Amino acid sequence: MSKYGPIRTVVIVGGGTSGWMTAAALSWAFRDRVTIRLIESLEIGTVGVGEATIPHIRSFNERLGIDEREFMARTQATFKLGIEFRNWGRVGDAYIHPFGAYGSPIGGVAFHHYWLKQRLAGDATPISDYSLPIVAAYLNRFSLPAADRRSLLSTFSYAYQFDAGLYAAFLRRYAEQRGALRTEGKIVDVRVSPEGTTIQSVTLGDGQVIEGDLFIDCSGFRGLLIEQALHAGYEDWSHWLPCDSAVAVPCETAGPWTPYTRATADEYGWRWRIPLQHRVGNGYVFCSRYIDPSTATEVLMRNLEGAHLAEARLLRFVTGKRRRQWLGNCVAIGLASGFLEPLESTSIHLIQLAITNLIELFPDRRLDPADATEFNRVMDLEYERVRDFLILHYNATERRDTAFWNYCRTMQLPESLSYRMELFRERGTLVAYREGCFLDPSWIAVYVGQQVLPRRYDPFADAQPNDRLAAHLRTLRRAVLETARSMPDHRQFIDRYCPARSMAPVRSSSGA
Amino acid sequence: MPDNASVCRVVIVGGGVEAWMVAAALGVACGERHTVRIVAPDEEPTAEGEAANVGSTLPPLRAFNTLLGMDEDYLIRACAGTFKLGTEFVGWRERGNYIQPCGEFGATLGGVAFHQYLTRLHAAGAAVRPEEYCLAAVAARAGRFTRPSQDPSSVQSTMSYALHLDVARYREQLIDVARRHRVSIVRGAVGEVVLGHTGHITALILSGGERIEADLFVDATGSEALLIGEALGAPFEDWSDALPCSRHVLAWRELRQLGAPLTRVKAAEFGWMTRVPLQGWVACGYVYDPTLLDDESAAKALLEWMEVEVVTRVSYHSAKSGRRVTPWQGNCVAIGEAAGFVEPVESTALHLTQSMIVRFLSLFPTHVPNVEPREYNRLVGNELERARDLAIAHYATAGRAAGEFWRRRSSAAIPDPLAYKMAQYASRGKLVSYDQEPVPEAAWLALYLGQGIWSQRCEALAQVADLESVRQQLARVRTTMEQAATAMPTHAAYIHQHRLGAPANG
Repeated sequence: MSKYGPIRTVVIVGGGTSGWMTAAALSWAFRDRVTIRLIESLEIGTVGVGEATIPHIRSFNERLGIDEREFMARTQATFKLGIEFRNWGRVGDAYIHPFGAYGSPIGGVAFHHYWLKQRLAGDATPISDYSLPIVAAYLNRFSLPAADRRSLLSTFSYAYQFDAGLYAAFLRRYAEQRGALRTEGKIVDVRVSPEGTTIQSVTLGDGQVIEGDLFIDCSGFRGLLIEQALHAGYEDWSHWLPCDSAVAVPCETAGPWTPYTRATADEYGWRWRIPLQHRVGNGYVFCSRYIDPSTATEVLMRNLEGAHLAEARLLRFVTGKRRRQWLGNCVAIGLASGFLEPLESTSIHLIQLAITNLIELFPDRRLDPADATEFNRVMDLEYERVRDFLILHYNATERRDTAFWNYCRTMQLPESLSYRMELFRERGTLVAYREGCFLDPSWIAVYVGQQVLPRRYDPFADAQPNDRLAAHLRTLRRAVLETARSMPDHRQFIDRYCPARSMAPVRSSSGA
Repeated sequence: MPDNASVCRVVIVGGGVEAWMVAAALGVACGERHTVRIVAPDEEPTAEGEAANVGSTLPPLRAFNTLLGMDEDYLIRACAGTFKLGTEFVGWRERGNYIQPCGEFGATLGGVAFHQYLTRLHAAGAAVRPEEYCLAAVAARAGRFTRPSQDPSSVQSTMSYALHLDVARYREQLIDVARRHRVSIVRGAVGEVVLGHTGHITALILSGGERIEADLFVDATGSEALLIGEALGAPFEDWSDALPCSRHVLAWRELRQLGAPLTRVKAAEFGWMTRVPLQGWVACGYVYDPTLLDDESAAKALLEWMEVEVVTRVSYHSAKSGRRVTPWQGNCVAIGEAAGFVEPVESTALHLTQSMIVRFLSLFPTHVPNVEPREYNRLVGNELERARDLAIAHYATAGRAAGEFWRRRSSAAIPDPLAYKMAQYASRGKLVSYDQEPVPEAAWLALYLGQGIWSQRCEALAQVADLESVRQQLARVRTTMEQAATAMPTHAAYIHQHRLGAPANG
C-alpha cells in the first residue's frame, strides 16, 4: 500500500495502567508484525489511575479475549452497578448514578417525563425506585444481566472495581506472552528530529538508545515525550474543575462489598470509596487553594472504615488536556494526554478510547497527518463531553458551607454545558451528541440527584390517562423491587464466580 | 407549579403532503387539551402538485408511519406502494452503475469495518465488486425482496428497506389519520398574517375574512414559506451555487411488470433523472438547472428517457436548495420545504420532513417558546447541512466533466465538513459521521465505492490479516449473500403473496 512501509517498532514509554493496556492491545492486534517495546522504570512509581471503571471496559477485555472470571480473580475485582454520590446537591443527599435506564418510554415519550408528571402531582416516589441497578445496588445484590430484552434483568449493565496495579500486571503477562518486550530503565534523553516534530529515539540511564517508528507516551502527567520533547501544549480546565490534588490510601474492609463506588462530597472536594475483594481503596480529591495536603490527609484518614494498609500518597495534577494528543509520531495515552478527576471513573475509559482509536487509525511510516487529525478531533470531543459531565456535579449544588463550594456553585460554565442544563431545567429535554460516553440516563441521574429539576414535562405525557399511568408505575416499582430481591448477594456471587486467586506480589496502587 | 397546558391551540398552514404529515402527527400526539387545526387550500393539490416528492422514501419513514398508527400492509395497498432496497445510480461515473443500498455491507469482522477488507483485497489486485457483499444490493439486482429478519444472527438482519409510495394517495391516508384524531380542517387561503408587537403571530385572516387565532403556528406551505419567510422575514440561506437543480418536471406512465425494488437516479446533461416504480405505473422526473435548460426541453429529454412519446400527466415544480436560518422563530415553526430543502438525489424530501416533525414533537412547547426554537434550529440546521453535504458529494465524486453543467459541478466549492469527510475516507477509508446525520455510514460507503473511489490505505488490522484467509472469508460472505438473495421471492411475487396488491391495479 504505502511506499513507506508499515510501522516496525512501537516504543511505549511508561508502564502502569495506560502503558500495559496499550501494550496488551497492540500485541493482540499486531502480534509478530510489529515489535512492541515498553520501557518502565521502577524508580518512577505508577499512579493507579483507576480502580473503578464504566461498562465499556468489558468490550476492551472481550476484544482481547480475556476471560472475565480469571481477570476478576487476578485483580481482586468486584462488580459495579453505579456510583453513589453523597452530599453533592445538598449535605445529607444521596443518589446513585446507575448503569442502566429508568423505566422505558411510553407512547414515544421518555420515562422521566411521566415520573416528573407524577411528582408534580404530589407523588414523592424517587426516580431511583424505577431503576433495577439502583435498587439492587442498595441491597448489595448482583447478577449478570439477562440477554432477553423482555426481562427486567436486561435493563442494566455493569463495570468493575479492581486493583489497577494488578490489572497492569495481568495485562503485562498477556502482552509479554504475545511478544511484547519490556525494558527496564529510566529515560534520560529524548532525541527529536531537527524540525522538532518527531521522536527519533530515547536514551536510557545506562546509555542504551532505543529507536522506534511510533512512540506512545504513557509517562504520566509530565508528558515526557508529548510535552517535554514535542511541546504539544496544554489546555488548562482548572477554572472549571479546581481540584488539583489527591491523597490515596487503601484500608481494611469493614463494610459490605458494595456493588458500587462511592463519591462523597467534602468541604474542599470529594472522597472516594472503592470496595475490592481484599481491601477498600480510598482517596480525597481536593483543591489545594483551600486545604493543605496534611489536613486533607487527616480528613481522609479520619473517615476510613478500617485500618489503613499503606501510607497515604499524594498526587498533584492540573485538570485539562493536551492541545494535541497525537503529534508527529507520538501519541499520548493516559495521564500524558490529559487529566480528568476520576469522579465518574473515566480514567481507564479515556485510555481505552485512545487505544481503540489508535488501532483504527494505526499509521504507517509515512505518518499521514490525516491520522493524527482525526484522532485528535475525536479525543477532543470525548474529553470535552466528560469534562462537562464532571462540571455538572460541582455546579449543580446548593452547598454554601465553604468558599470552595461557593466558587463551584457560581462559576461561569462552558456554553456547551449551560445549554444542556437550560434545556433540561426548562422542559426535561436531554441534548444528545454523537460523541461522549454518558448517555441520557446518566445525565438524568445527576440532574435529578442534584436537584436540577425541570419546570415542565413533555406535554404529550398527558395523553396517558392518569389512573392507568399510576397503575403502570406501581407495577413497575414492585417488579423492580422483586427482581432485585431475587438477585444473589454480591459477595456470594463473587465467591462463586471469581474469588481472588494467588496474587503475585502486589505493587501498591490506590488511585481511583 | 408549572402550567403544562398553556399552548393549546395549534394551527398548521399548508395543503401538501408535508402539512398533512404534521397534522396527522400532531393529531396522534396531542391529548384532549389541545386543539389542532389545519388551514388548507379549498382544493387539495393534485398529484402533480406534489411534484417535489416523487415517492421514493428512506427507511425511517416507516417508523414515522408506525408512530401514526398506520399499518404498513394497508398503506402499501392504499398507496400503490412497492418496496425499495436502495437506489441505483446510473451514469454518475464513466462506466457502470451502482446501488446505494438500504443495508449494510458484509459484517464487522474482528472489530474492523467490513469495507476495510474489501479495500485490502482490492489493493492486492483482486477485482472486487463491493455490491456483491451487500445483501440489500444483491437482492435488489436480482429483482428480489423479502422483509428483513429481526434476528441479529440472521444475514437478513443486515438489510433494511423503504417504501415507494404514490404521494398523493399517501396524503389521503394522512388526512384520514388527522381526521380520526380530531384535527379540524379550515378551508381557505391565508390573506393576511397578523403580527403582535413581540413579533409573534397572533392570527391569520383568511381571504374569506375569517380570523384564525392560535398559540402556535406551523408553516408547512413549502417553498412559499408564507409565514416564516413572507410574514416573519426569516432569512433563507441559498445553496443553489452548489446545488443548482431547483426545477423538476414529472411525468407518469404505465408499468405492466413490476421490476426491481429500486429507485433509479440517472445523471443527465443538466441535472439528473429519477424513476420510481409503483404498482401499475412509474413516476419519473427530471431535476435540472433552470439557468441552463428550459422546461420544454427538459420534458422532451424526460420523455425520451421514459421511451414514451406522450404521457397523460406532466407537471413542473420549483424548489431551491437551502435553509431557513431560523426555521422556528417566535411562535412559528417551519416544517418541510419552508424550513429547508436539499435537491432529493438521496430521496431526502419526505425524510427531512418527518425528521423535523419528530424533533418538533419532542420540543413541543407548553407556553411561549423560549429554549425550544434554539434547539430545534440547531438540530434541523445540522441535519439539513449534512443532507446538503451528501448531495454535493454525489457531484463532487462524479466522473463527468463534459458540458457546462458538469463542468460547473466539478469546479464547485466543497463545504469544509464534507471536504474533511472525503479526505478521511480517501486516506484510509475512515467513515466520519457528525451529529444529526440523515443517512447511515453505509450510504456514504456505497457512494464512494460506487463512484469507484478506493482509499489509499486500509486499516492496519485489515492490512496485517492473512490475505488468503481474508479472500476465503469474503468469498463465504459473497456466497451467503447470493444464497440468501436467491431464496427470496421476486419483488412482484412478494407483493402478490402478501396480498399487498393495490385494489385499483388488481
